[in-house]
Amino acid sequence: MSAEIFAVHGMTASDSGTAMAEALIALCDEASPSEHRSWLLFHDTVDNAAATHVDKIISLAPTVLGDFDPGKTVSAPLDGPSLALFEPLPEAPTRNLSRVMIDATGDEPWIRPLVENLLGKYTLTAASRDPAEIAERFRTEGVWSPVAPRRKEWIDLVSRHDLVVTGNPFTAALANGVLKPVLFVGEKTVTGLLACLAAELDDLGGQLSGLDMVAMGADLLNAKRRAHQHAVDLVRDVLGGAAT
Amino acid sequence: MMSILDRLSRHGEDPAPGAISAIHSGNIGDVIYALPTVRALGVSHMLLNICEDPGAGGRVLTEAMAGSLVPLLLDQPTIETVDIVTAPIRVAGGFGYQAWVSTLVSGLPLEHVSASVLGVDYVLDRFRLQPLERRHLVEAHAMAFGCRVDPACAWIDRPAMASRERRIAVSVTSRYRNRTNERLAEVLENFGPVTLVGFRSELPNYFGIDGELREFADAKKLVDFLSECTVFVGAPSFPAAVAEAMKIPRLIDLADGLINAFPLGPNGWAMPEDSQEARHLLDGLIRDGRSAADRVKPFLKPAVPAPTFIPRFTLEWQQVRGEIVETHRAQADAVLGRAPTRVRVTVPRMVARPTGLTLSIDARVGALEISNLRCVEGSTTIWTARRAEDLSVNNQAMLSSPPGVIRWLMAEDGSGRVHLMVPEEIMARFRDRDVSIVFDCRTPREREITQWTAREIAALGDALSRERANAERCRVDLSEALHKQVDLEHRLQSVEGSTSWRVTAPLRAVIGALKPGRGGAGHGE
Repeated sequence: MSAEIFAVHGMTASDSGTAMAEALIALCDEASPSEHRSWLLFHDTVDNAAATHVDKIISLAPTVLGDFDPGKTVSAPLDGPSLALFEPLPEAPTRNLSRVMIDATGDEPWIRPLVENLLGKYTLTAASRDPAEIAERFRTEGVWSPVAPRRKEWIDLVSRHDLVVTGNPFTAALANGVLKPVLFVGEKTVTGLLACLAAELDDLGGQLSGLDMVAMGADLLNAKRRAHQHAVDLVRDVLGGAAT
Repeated sequence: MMSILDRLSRHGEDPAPGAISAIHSGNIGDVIYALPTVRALGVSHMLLNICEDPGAGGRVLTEAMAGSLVPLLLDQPTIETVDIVTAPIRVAGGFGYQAWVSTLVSGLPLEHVSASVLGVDYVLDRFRLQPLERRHLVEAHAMAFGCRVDPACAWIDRPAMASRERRIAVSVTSRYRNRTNERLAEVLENFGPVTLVGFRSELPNYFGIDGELREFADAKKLVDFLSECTVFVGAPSFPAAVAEAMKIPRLIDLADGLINAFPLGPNGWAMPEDSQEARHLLDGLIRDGRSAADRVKPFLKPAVPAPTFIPRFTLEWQQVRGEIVETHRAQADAVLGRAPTRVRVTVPRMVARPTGLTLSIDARVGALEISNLRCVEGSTTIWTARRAEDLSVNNQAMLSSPPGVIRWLMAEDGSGRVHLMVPEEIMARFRDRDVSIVFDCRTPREREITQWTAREIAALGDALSRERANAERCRVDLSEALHKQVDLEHRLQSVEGSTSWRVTAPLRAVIGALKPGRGGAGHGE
């Protein structure tokens, strides 16, 4: 069997872009397995010379394809957080609610009241991805405030908690992807998440005590398996429909 | 390589020079989860370490268990030799003779022992040093050696099936449980023949689940059997590990706490907590594995209102028919919240007078309160629990409450049993009348539980103080009495030792002899 070269194009050179690319590659390899396939990543800059050797280009940003051969280009059937859910990471299902991670990156107005609301009810972590901004903010309350600028550390932090509160859709997708429920606190709505709690922040501590995490753990795992199966089917359709 | 291990038996070929070796001390399910790593490391010489830790609990690999794994291991693509070995390691409690006779752990732990000391290339027991509370066992093994595995792919091949008839394989153990056998039986009801996988000694684990028990001489025969089953249902166990390795359609009831053996990859589903949803999913798995995906919730958007719970109330009683004591049950479900909810358990007419009425509650809540419990015949209340002794809980965590009300902290497994002391004459009416047990039940607020618990602790503290005061008073009284006794003895000795006492001794003898009633003796002297 001859070697194949596939490429992912159009993701930003960021952690979220990496998450989407990794997820897309995993889904493609599952939908159309091949032992002789290698992958290239094209970010915003188009390398036309390299692209001439590519058998198939899966694009996350069709509008900036440039001179790529449209005959071997397909659009990724999923994008954004709903794609990042399938990044191949070790899963760690939640079965009880003990440790809550608050994504304290950025100086969002909801963070401090939320910390005060949950303090003493759960083991809290107020984590940030930005080394410049954190650390001392919650030290007086005795809240663990780690800084995890590298993605591996951030993934590890998310895996170690039972619930993640965040305003970042990609952190929310990461949490759902490793089977952690999420409380999304964002001005915009985010689509594609699998387990996103709806709760009033004012009395979150009291409300969270009513969650049946045992039931949610099983349902979240099943929801991800279902979404994954559908995503593989979508990618298989797309790959099958493109000329190589 | 020199080794401290003693070999009990060898299976397969002698290892070739330079063969890559690895040792594992179980449990046997963990050995199955180690196989992707074994393959990734190119291990051809597998050693199984016989071990037991009765003192610490949780780890055991007997020679028989290891032997049952051998045919399956030798079937793996890289493994050519399997040795069953023992390690001369013992952990004992105490000193001297006590340490000699009281082995807590034998053959363990190896995870901290250098591979060169054991004469192997890899000590697979090091998976136990990984964060097992949040890593699947397949990944924990791979992490321990920095290799990459894909646990979503099958790592034990499914043999070609002769025929596949509808058959459900079930395996549960006493460990890693979530739902009770009764609830598991609900899920399995009417889906066809059920085969219980396990040894005869494990039969008590299956109490309440109908099915035929099958024992397998070795793991390969279990693989052959599972490949002919439509679906595997069960809790994390050795057969569940094999089903996971084969990626056969499976519905796994995830353990309540530690989750490091959950379904990964195709055909694997977690058993939904709701039994109807679980049955719906099982039905899909039996009909067609792929359509099962459309039978689970696509996403969860749980609002978190004031908590409500739907526990199951089960009334149990015994009836004596001749020499046979039969246990009967009647059940009711109710949605519980902060406010009291009326629960009615209708008792079927009985052929004999019941004894030992017990109300079992299966609810994952912190505490429960039952009040206003009564026996109702038609619309007439024939008995109400008004006295403290009318209701009791076989639970140390019973909280003080007014007479006729019972409050208690639920056990960790979410079970509770309330004993109803219904008078004999009322019990007699259960025999030929339609009687129901009616009561109000609620889940108290956290604040209330805290208050009640604090009150209970304070009451216990008071009682303890009173007992201490009583004990102190008794100690003082005893001390005083002892003092008095010593004082009296001392005074008596002083008197007896005095000159006047000795001088007057003859006089006292005469007086004594002259006393009425002792005269005879006196005259006789």
